[in-house]
Amino acid sequence: MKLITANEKMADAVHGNYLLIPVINRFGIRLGFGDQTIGAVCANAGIDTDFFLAIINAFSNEDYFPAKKLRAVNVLTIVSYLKKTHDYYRRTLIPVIESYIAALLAKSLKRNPGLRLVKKFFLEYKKELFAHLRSEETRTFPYIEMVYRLHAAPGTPRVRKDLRRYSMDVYEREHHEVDEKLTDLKNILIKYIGGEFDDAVCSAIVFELFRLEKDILDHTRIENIVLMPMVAEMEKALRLR
Amino acid sequence: MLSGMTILILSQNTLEAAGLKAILQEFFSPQRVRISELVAVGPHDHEADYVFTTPEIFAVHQTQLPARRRVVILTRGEGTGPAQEGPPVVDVTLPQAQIVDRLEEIFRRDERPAGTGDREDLTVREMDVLRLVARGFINKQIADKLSISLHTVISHRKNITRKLGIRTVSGLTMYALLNGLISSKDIR
Ligand SMILES: [Fe+2]
Ligand SMILES: [Fe+2]
Repeated sequence: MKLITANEKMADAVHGNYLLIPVINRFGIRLGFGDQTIGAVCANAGIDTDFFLAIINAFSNEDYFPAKKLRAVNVLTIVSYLKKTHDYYRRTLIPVIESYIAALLAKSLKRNPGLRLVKKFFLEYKKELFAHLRSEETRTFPYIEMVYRLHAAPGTPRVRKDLRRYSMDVYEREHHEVDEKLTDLKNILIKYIGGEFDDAVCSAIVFELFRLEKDILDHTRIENIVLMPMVAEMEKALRLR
Repeated sequence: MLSGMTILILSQNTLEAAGLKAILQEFFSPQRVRISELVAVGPHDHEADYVFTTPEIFAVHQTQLPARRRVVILTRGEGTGPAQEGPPVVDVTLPQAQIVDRLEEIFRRDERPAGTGDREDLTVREMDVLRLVARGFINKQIADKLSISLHTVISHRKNITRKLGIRTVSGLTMYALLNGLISSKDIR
C-alpha cells in the first residue's frame, strides 16, 4: 500500500483514484489544480495538509486508518469536515440517486412493480439517513463544540449541568448503523431485480450506491474511532477540574 | 412475460374467466388462454403452464392437477384463499391495476430460472420464517405461530440473512415482495 504524500501532485492523486474528487471538493478544493503539489494546494486553501492527507489516505485504503494522527487534529476541524460530508450526502449524492431512480421508473415502459418498491425503499432509507444527520447536527456537534470551548477555557466550567444532559456515552449508544439498509438495497438490485428495466440507469444507481456506502462507512469510522474518543477525553478532563 | 406459455382457466364463472383472459392477453401476451369448466379434459390442458382456478374446484380436484403445473387460486376478497403454504392467490375483486401487479408478482417469481438465485437454497422452514418477518411479525410471534423455539427462529433468521445477503427487516420485506412470497396487502 502506497500512501499519498504532500509532495505529490494533486492531479496525480486524482489520476490514481478518481473517487477522491468529491472528498477533495469537501475541503473547498476544486478541480483545475494544474501541476501544484498537494502541499501547495492545501497551503493556498488554508487547509491542514496532514489532516487532508490522513483523510484521503484513509478514504483510499480500507485497511489504513491513522487514528492517532487524526486525533491530533483540532476537534472543530474534524466536526467541520463531518458536516461537509453530511452536506454532500444531502445536497448531492442522495438527490443524484433519487433522480436516477425516477429515471428508472420513467424509462420502464412495461409495468414493473419491483421498480416502485426500489423507489419506496430508497425513500425510506433517505428519511432514516437524514434523521441521523439531523440528530448529529442539532445535538451531537453543538455539544462537542461546547465541550471544546469549555475545555479550551481555563478554570472550572460553570455550565457543568450542560455536560450532564448529553455525553459521548449517549452518542455511542445511540449511534446506529446507517449503512445496513443501503447495503441491502444494493444487494437486492445486484441479485434480485427482475422484469423490464433500463440497464444503464440501473447500473448507474448501483454505482452510486457503492459510492455512498463506501463514503458513509468511512464517515462513520471517523465518528466512532476519532471523534468519540477525542471528545470523551475532554469530558474526562472537564469532570476532573 | 408469458411468451410461448399456455394458460388454462378453470372456472364456472363465465365473466370472471373472460375478464381474466382479457387481462392476461393485454398485459402478459401468453401464447394461448383456454377457458374450461371441467378439470383436465383436452390435450391442451396437459400442456398448460399455469392453471387459474377457484378455491372450490381446487379443493375437489387438487389431485387431478399435475404437480408440475403452476396453480393460481382466484379468490373473492381477503381471507378466502387457502393457507399460506398453498398456491398463490389472486383476489378478483381488486381493481384491475392491482390484479395486474399481483399477476406480475406471481409470474416473475416463477420466471427466475432454477439455480440462479439463492432463493432455491432457502429451506421451506426458512421461507415460512421469511414470510412472517416480511409481514411484520417479531421473533417471539414467529416462534408461537410456527410452534418452534425462539432460538430456532433466530437461527433461521441468521441463515436467511447469510443466504440472501439481506440484513434489515425492510430489505427482507422488499425481497419477499419482489419474489411474490407475500403481497403488499400482507404488510402490517
Ligand atoms: Fe455523521
Ligand atoms: Fe453518524
